[in-house]
Amino acid sequence: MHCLHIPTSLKLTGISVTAVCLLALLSLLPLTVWSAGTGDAPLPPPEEVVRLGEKMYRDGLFPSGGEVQAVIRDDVQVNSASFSCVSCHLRSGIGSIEGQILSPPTNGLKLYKPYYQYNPVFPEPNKPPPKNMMDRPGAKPLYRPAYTDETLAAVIRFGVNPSKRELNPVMPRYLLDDRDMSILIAYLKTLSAEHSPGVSKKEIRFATVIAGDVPTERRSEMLAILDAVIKNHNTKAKKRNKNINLGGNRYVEASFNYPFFTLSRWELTGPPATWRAQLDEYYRKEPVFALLGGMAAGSWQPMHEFSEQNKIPCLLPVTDLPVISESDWYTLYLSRGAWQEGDSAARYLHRIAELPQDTSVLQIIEDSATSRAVAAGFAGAWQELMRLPPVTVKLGHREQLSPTALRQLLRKEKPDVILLWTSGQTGAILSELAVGPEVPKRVHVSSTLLNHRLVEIPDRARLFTFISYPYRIDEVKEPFHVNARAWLKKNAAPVTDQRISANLFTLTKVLLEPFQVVKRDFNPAGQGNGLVIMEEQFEMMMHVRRNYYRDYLLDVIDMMADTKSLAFERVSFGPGQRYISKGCYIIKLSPGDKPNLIRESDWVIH
Amino acid sequence: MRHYARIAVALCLLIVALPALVPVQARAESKQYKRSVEGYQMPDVTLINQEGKNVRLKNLVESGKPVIVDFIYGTCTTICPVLSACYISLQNKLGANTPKVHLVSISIDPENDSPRVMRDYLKRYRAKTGWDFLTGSRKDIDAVMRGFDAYIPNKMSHYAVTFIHKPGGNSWIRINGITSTSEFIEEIKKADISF
Ligand code: HEC
Repeated sequence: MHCLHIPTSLKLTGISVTAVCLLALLSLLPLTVWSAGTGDAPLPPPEEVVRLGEKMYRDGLFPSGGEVQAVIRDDVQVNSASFSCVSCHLRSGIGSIEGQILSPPTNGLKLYKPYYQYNPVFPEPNKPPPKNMMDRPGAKPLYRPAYTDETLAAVIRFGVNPSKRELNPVMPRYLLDDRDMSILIAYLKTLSAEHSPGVSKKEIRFATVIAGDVPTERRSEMLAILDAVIKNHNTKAKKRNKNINLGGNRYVEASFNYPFFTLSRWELTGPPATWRAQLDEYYRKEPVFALLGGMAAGSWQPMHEFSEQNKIPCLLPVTDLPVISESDWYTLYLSRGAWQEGDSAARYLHRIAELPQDTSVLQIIEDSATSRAVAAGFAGAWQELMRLPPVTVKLGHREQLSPTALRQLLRKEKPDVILLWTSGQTGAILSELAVGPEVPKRVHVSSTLLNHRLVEIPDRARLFTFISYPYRIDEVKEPFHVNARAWLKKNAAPVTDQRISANLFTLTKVLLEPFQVVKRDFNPAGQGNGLVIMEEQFEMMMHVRRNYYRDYLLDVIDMMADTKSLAFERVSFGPGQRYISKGCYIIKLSPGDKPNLIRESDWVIH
Repeated sequence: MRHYARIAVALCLLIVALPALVPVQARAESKQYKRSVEGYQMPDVTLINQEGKNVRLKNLVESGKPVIVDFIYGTCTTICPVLSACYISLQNKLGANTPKVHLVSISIDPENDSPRVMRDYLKRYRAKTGWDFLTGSRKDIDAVMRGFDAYIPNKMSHYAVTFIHKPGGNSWIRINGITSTSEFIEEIKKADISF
């Protein structure tokens, strides 16, 4: 055997076959991975330890760069490049529930305390489930003592906890040498170690950003729904806090009471290039836990970067111009905005209209961020589908495409498809196209660019005009919609055709549910005695309470079930998914002043 | 009212989660997975694979090759990584015989799982040829889950289940839980599939 550093505190007697197999496997590892001697090398400075530990935890990479190795059920090899600790214990380390499996907290704060779990039962299919935890026969807490560095290393390597329980096989058994293990453990100790900024005994602070020249009606509608959401939480918190806070004056730790929410307005003025500095200044004066909603005259990019760099969640900014990213973490958008409309048009032409591979496309783009975003969405999908790039005509600032220029273009290009990524002039161009001489087969337009004034599409053009429409089509009378409307009415949030309240109603899910004030404590006796108890584990699944970590809020949102929406056909969540509405219909209009929206596609087109 | 409903839901979640925490000793005699033989009628739906190509489920099942099916999604935590590790470990163990078995993963998050997301997923797991990932319309995916008696309304509450089909007939071996690779190969052999 090479020089293995198996913790001596671990007695081999209680250990299972798995552990023995692991030892055998460890001894077979090539020297390159398990280089002799590294185990004794001193640890790098603390910041470096955190960086290296995070690489192991999130990316499954050894400090040396190689992939961390692990096994499941003795012979299923795990390549940590495909998944690692973060895939189950999530970014905050508070854990997850997925696939009916609970991955418990793995942050130092919780690991180094004793832990109680109730003795679990198998649900029996033909019997109703017990009414609550206490009703179960023989319910007695499962206990494990606090971990030490040694027992923690042992559980990560061999899957056996300090009470000699062998863990569920889903938790892989990791092959780490002593030095890498120390780095990982040092990282776990920093993970969710203290409440995030913006949390005090009494309150959790939020802000909403209003950047640039946002029309007054839009901002008042947004502020009204945000206030309604905050008030809703505070009313419940007040009721709950009556007993805890001894008359409401003396506040105990936020871990035990229900902090109130506050909302500040961060108004940014001047050109977008100066917004970032203004945000930094607001944040310096008043650190907030998260940003809620928000509006900007222009792209959300400066706010996006601010959130990303400061690791501040931003929940549901109202914007047509989100940043499109696969990997950014901290901004949760309603949708991909205007970009999605172009993307869906491309996929529609490919998959539903099934146009031949050599289809020629002419696209007309205006000099605006929205027009460019629609075009970018189209281009990305079109290229992925290996289609010929469209011929592009870029109009200058405020330039109108004249009838002559249009006719010349058509004569020259003879396009099979026209993409009219134009705004105010769209109606006029469509009228022109309808006159001929040759009426086009397909023209695609964007409802966002039309500012949702679909009636501006002339009757004569409606047969060949396909509209990207990123909202639900009918207002249904399902209980969800009825209740949502009633909630908005009761809480004095105006509902207009701007869809701002309709969009932000989802905050009642992504913000209020995680901070839900739970009426019943499952084990009130456990409160405050320093133990991680069942109640907390129960809370863990769907609530943030007592785990006031920004990363955990996002982890909880990521675990949410798909749901309905007033604005969209559906919204859905998932680890790392940052655009909750994924769809966009392609529709046509029936003739007349009050046209029907005619569905030409499913909500999501692949 | 809403509170009670929510607590009830959470309780249910909790209860279904608990088996995962059963001490191993308590079920030491039994295997770590449950196996049964079932007959399933597949709906006639067309799904989309990671290349963006249409795949008719019937043709896939009746291709004359043994087929193994599981349900996962691209951004899934905990259970999908483990199921996929089992797939890839099987492919590695089968070596030259890999092309003789068709591994299929069907998305239960069809809105997010586009061909690109599925391609990236397979790449991340280093899937070899012979492992396909399928998505489709929400309606069709629901029909497939129902076909396998594995319908779950909420993707977060799915569970580890794998199906093995030998060519011909409607018979499937249903495996609930996580197998080791050697157990997986044993089960495939029991389906009369030989290499
Ligand atoms: C595929 C999912 C998965 C991955 C990956 C994973 N874990 Fe776990 N982990 C679990 C589950 C599930 C449990 C609970 C098992 C049980 O209690 O039977 C667990 C338990 C633990 C425990 C014991 C907690 C306690 O309170 O006793 C620790 C510590 C832990 N994991 C750390 C890690 C670390 C560190 C990594 C990465 C190197 C990791 N896990 C990777 C799923 C996972």
